[in-house]
Amino acid sequence: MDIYLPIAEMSVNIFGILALGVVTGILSGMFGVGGGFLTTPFLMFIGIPPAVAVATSANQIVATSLSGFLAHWRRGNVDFRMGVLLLEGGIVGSSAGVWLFAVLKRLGHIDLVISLLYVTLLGSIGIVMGLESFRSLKHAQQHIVPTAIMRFPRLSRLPMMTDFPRSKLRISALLPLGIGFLSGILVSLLGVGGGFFMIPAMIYVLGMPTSVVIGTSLFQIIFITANVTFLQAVSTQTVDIILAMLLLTGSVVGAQMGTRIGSRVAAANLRGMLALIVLTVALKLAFGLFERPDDIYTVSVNDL
Amino acid sequence: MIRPLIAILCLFFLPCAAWAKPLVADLSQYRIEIDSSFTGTRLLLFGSRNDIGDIVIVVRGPEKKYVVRRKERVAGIWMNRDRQRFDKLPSYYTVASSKLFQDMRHTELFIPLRIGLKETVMGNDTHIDPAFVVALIRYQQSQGLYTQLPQKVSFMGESLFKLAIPFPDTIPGGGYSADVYLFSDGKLQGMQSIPIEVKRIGFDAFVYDFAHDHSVLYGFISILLALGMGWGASTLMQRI
Repeated sequence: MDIYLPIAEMSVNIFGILALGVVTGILSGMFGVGGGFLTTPFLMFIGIPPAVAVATSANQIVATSLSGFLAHWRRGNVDFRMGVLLLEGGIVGSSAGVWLFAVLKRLGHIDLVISLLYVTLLGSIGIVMGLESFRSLKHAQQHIVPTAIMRFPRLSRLPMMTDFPRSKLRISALLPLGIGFLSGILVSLLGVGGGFFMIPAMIYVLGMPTSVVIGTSLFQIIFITANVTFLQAVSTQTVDIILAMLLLTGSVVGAQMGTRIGSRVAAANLRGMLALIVLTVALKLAFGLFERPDDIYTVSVNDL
Repeated sequence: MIRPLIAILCLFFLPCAAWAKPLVADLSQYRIEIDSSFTGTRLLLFGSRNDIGDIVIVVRGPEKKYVVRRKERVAGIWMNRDRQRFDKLPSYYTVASSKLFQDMRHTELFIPLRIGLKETVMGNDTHIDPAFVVALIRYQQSQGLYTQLPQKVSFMGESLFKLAIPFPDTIPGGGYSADVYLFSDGKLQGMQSIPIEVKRIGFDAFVYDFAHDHSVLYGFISILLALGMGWGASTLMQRI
């Protein structure tokens, strides 16, 4: 069954979009990532204009992250103090990212920069996570994840030391602010929620417990993607509310399923699986850079 | 540039139209309405010629701006290098004829009248790299927006002709026109232009207009709906 999308100006298969929503929802609930790094490329693949795909998946991530966040919140798995600091950094970062995007676009090659960023980031994060979860699976005993603070003791001498009772941490507030800032830049540049960057950073740099990481990252993503949705709706009118609702319907259901699956799987397994997904997407994109494209010509259309 | 030319040509043919119009044509409908169940449609164009000659029918959609970019391999990676802008091209274009294009003898009129895909995209600009023109046409054809239908104008008897014009689901809204030309002996004998309106209706039109006219409110509503659905689903699943 097909439905016409008023903003994308084309018709799509309802069940295809619903299924895509469910898949991203499950990922979101299990791993705390918004699924934008899967949704956006897939929507473009089926012919949705890139600008509409980016803006609409931001709108979808607002709902999946809220739904996932509520589930984690009921279990007490959210560190609000940490979340607010990440959010503050994220808002500054996403504004800087919008500016950076404009500069890159003026210089040309914005698409290439986006692909390279995806490949480098997803590739390195996937490898680090994969190795770590493999190691902790091999040594089945209680395993302590080595954090950046343990490796670089200088990080613990930064000013603004703050207590994070929920995460059982005492670290400098500058660290979450910085991570939020970097992920904010990625949100603007890549049109994703930023979870795939922030979650590994929270685990391996801040040393937060895996159980708290997902709920806290979802908390931050709600606000950042809401901000992106709003900016896109006002400046480019590319948020397709019908497409968003279809994706949402699938993904809110998927998110609940994902949260339930996630709570039954060991944390190291969960990290291992996320690493595998991230690596697969990175490899796919890396091949895309070196492989001769089917069509070396690309066409973009604008209203007069 | 095209319209004044057509007007002059029409004036030129007016005297003969006084005693016998060389060409009369009409459409099955003048309006295409796009709603949420729209998956494309066909309009029937039919008419009659009072002279011997070839019929060419061109349907054009509202104009848009296009940029074509070409990738090249740099240090193993494919990146965009050259580009070509097309500032004003019809977003939809269908050309149909009663004969094969190569069998017609009045092709010198095709460029000024913008008849044919290459003639429309390239015009008489010789500075454009033809590869970009080919790429643009190929892209538009893959979207179903540019179509060539040689020999698809069919005759019933000597004078009656008809054509089914395809409109895919990707057509943009706006003003379209169906232009019917009658050529014989290398001359344009008659021409008629019929306007078509493509309009969004119902809920979709409302959403589209709302997104453009009240974008701040639209943004807030999008976010609130998303928040509402996220919360609703989570509460619902909690109960089950």
